[in-house]
Amino acid sequence: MKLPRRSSLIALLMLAGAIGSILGTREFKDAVVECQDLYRVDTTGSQIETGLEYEIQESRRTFSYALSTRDPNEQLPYIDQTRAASARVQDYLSRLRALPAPQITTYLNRFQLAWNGYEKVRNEVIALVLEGDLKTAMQVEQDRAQPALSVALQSLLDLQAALGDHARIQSARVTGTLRRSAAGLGAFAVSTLLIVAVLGRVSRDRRLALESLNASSAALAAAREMELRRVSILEMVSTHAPLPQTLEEIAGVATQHAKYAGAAIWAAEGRCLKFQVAANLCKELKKCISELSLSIVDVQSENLTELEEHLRRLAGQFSLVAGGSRALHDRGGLLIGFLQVFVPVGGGGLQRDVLKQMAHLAATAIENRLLYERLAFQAQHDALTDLPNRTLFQDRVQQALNLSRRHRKRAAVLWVDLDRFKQINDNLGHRVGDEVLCEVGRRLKRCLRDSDTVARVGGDEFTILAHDLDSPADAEVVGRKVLAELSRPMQLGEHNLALTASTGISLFPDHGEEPIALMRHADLAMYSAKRDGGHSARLFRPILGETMLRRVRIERELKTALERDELCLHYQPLVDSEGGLNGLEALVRWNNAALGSVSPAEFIPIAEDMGLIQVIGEWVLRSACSQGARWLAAGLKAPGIAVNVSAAQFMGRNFTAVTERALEENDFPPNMLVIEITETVFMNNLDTALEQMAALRRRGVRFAIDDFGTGYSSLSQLRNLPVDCIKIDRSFVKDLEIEGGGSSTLVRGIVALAHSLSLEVVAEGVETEGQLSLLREMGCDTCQGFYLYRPMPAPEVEKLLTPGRAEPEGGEVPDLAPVIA
Amino acid sequence: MRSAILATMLLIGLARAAGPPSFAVVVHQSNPRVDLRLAEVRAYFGGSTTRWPNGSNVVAVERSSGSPAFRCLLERVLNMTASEYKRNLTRIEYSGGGRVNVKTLNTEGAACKFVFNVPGAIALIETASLSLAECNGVQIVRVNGKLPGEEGYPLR
Repeated sequence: MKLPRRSSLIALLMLAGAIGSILGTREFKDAVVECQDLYRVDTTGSQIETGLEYEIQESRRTFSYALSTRDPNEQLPYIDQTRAASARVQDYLSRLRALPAPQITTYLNRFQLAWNGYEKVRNEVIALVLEGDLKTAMQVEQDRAQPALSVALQSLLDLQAALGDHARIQSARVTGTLRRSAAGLGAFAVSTLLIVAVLGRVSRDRRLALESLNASSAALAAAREMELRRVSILEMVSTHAPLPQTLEEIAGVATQHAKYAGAAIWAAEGRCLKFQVAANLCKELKKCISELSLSIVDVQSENLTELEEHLRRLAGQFSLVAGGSRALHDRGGLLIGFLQVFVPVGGGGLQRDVLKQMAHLAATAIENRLLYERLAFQAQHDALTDLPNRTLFQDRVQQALNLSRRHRKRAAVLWVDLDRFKQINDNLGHRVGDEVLCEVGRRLKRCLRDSDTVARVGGDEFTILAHDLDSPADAEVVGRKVLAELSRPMQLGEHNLALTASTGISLFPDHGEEPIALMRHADLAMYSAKRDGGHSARLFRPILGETMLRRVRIERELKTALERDELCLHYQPLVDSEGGLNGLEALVRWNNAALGSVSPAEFIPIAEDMGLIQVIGEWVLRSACSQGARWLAAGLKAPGIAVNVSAAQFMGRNFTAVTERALEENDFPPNMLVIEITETVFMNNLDTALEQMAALRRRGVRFAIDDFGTGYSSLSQLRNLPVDCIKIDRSFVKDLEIEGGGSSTLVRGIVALAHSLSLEVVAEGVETEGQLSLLREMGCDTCQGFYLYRPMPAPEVEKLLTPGRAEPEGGEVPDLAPVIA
Repeated sequence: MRSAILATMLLIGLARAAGPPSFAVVVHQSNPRVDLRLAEVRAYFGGSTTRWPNGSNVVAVERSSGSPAFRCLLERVLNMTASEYKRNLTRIEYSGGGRVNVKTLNTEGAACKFVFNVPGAIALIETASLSLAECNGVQIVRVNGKLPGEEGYPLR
């Protein structure tokens, strides 16, 4: 009975052992699967985290390159790289979603949302950068993109923490499962050798798995610590934390990975490497390192041997060895820094990948700082000459004024404008023009004290701040010095140029107590110098202000006069000897809301100086043709219309085309258009003038010489000129009635000469009956002047052209004959 | 949209086999103005209109001088010579019309990329270039109600 009971017991025990074994094995299998999941989540997650950070950093870096140029052709490749890095960020996020780790979903969504928000703002910045609106781009970048990025980085940190938590929970679960499996298997160990053997194996596997798990947990913790540090460093880089602070954080990484290790970092400053920080090194060694010559490495030569040799020797003196070093390069391959790690003798170097990561972070931090400094420099300096720009100059003037107030001294602002610089640009090209500006900048700096400031505030406009002056005479000395320096011949390649400049000077406190006022007054004084022929320095006087202010206001208003439809044409009738209407002269008038009616004598020369005369002249031509065509279409017998054309407009390359287009667009007969030009047209380039005239005459356009007798009239040329009419200048007509004045003889001669050449003669400025009688007696064909008709707007001309028309001003021209076209 | 682009590409293919190159006006994906009169195209490129109806700035993209697209811009859109065109832009700027934002891009692909990135951009490119990968993200504009390749399209 005993045996069967024992057998039953053994059988029962074996059965329980078998069940325990089966259950324990199943638990163990589950543990292995969970372990594999944990490993997969852990390693993939870790790779993705690293990749994510790298791509975020890459997108920032490539984007900052795009900001460093203004040419969209250069910006676009960088922007492509930025977008590609962003696409990889999204790819990493998709991969994170695919991991069997539901606990991270919330954090993943949060990061995704934050990153998408940042990308949206960054795309706006990209558009602004490409549009060329760098100022707004920088504003949006600072106000919106940077905060959005900070939020995204914070979300990334949370996500990483969530991944870590997930790994810890998973690890605890695996450990629990393994323990349960061990218990099941332990219960059965005594029942059968086979099961014991199996259990022994299971136990060994469990031990190995636990050991491996512990080791990987430790490595994971270290890697996570490193990642957190990297994120913190990257955040410091992206928020432009001070460079030494960032580099100190990077150098500190070395000490974390190797016992008693220390590190030192150098960064480029100009052409040399400059020591920045050292971490975990004794004071004496740090002092020795910082005292190494600043110019020990020329960044362009990239020869680091000497520096490395010095460091090796130094390390030896402190029982250390150089445990790894890296040259730091920017994206373009330029040497921008150096990293050196020190370890105790026999302590072993730093792991290669840690050193690589440190070098990468340090290079990013230095490059970012250099870029930031460059942008800051560009914001305050002129890109061509590297001189301070207007903003920085105003700032310096403000500082100088504060000092001058305190020390009761004078300060001067000089406004220098090159004379006829436009001609250099037009004739020799912008490259030579740019070289001239650079040379002018260099010369100005050379001839002034180091404490003075030279700035470029516009195309060819420079400003100078000279302070600590005792009297106005000191400022004038500076002005003369500047003129002398600039008038020295300038040899630029094959070109030998002789430049002159106009300079305006304003003084503190005499002419203003604010930078803006001083600059404006210096500018006005410069204008005055320029208007009087240039190549002089002029001190501001309040009277100058009024005259020049009027001119500046005219200039400002004139720019938009056409746009605001402020110009209009008046027409002054020309009357022939029979009293008939023989033509109309179109005269431009300008009525401005602020300035009132501005005389053409005042605004036309300014328009010529501003280069607006072409535009205004073209408008006059088109409007006259259009008005003439409207009169004809209305069935009025309009006479020919004369239009004054300036020499600059006439000699313009496309004057013929513009005139032809004005005629064609308005369907105005060419033979009804008379172009009035002055003799100066023929003085500069006779051949071109004749060519233009011939082309238009072939179309039927007629020509008159205006203000005849006042220029350098060449009588021998007159017979060769293809003109139909000459207009005697009003100055001769004015003196006609003065006996013995000589005008009478001259006019008689001009009339005879013109008639002998079959030219029509028009006398301008007829203001009295006596003048009219004399001119008729001399045989003058046509007269024009206030005595006959004042210039009148188009509707009044229409009344004149219809039967029952208005009488002339003098009421003395009887029987005005039907209109002659 | 996809079918419209495919149809356009097909029409372009046929048109290319039949005659001289034609040119397409392209704008940013978000731009609602996808049907313009030729006069409006002229105003956008010529600088007389510097803002889109939604208020954003117009950025006219031109190709480098000498390129077929630049010639087409001058001859068929603006009806000006190159110097007249430059002077016109200067005139607008000096007469208070504001600064005309014109960007010169070196290649057709770059022009498309620019338009892809800048919501206010408008460019004239050869229709053959629409098959480039860079031109995937831009909108083709109907000019006078026609797409490139259709009968009566004015820029061919």
